[in-house]
Amino acid sequence: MTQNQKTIVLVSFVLLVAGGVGYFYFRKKSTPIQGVNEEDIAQIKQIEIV
Amino acid sequence: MSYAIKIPATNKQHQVPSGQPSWKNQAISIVKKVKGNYMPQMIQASNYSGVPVMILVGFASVESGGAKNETLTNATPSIMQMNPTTAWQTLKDQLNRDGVTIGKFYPLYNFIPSIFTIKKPLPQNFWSNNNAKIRQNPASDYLQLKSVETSSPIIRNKLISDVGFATMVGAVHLAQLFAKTIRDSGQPRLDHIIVMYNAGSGRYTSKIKNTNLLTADTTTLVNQLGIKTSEDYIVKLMGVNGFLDVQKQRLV
Repeated sequence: MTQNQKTIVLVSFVLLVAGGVGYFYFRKKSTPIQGVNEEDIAQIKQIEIV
Repeated sequence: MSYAIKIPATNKQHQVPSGQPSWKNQAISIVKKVKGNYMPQMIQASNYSGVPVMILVGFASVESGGAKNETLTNATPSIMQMNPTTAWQTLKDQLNRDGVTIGKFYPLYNFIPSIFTIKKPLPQNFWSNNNAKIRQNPASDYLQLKSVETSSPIIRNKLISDVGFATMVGAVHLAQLFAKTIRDSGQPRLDHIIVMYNAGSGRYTSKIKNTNLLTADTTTLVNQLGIKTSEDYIVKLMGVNGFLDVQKQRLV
């Protein structure tokens, strides 16, 4: 494998890892709508109009 | 820990055409009708979902304009103006949520049993003390929602004919949206919830979630959102002399 080929493989690997990390970071920030259980409802009951 | 929602959240006030009563008087009149007609249902739905009565009355005021539930028969019927498909999804999300027991879910099931398939028989005398342990089992062990195609026409009729159901499913949907904004930002963002409720979660994602408006205050959001109906909705509900403001001031 030439030096150029090694560099291409390395850069591809780094981009792949960065893409994966980025995907999971943004995925975590975008939560789906889901049902509410007792714990959620207890939090919602803390809402006050002031 | 308490979550405070400051009202008015913006210094904007809904503008009415000249010759009409003032917006403040209109807001008071509409809230008075909603409370006068449906307060028991609002309290029941608030107790079940945790969403404050004031907020439920506010949403019903915007959505119904004070009209009676059975007269609101368009594609998104009832005083909560819910799309039957959204109501179906709300029930489905609720049924499948970890920690939702059959005891907790039963009141929703009991409103509209015909859209559910029984996976495991529910005991007779469900609320008897003898069944206390069974009521702690997961709701999804006992019930399955029928398809959206089968359920939607039944849900639509129920929304129009039973204001208790309409208010309850609307309140549960709002509770789900509150929980989402608390998860997303650590705070209950009522303005964000209005956009999701009024314009859908897709437009919330494209116009707020993935933009610099996610952390913007309510006034900036209204100025820059670019969805006129949601901007008006936020001002009517959260603005000066809005449906929440007149309740907070105890003018109704």
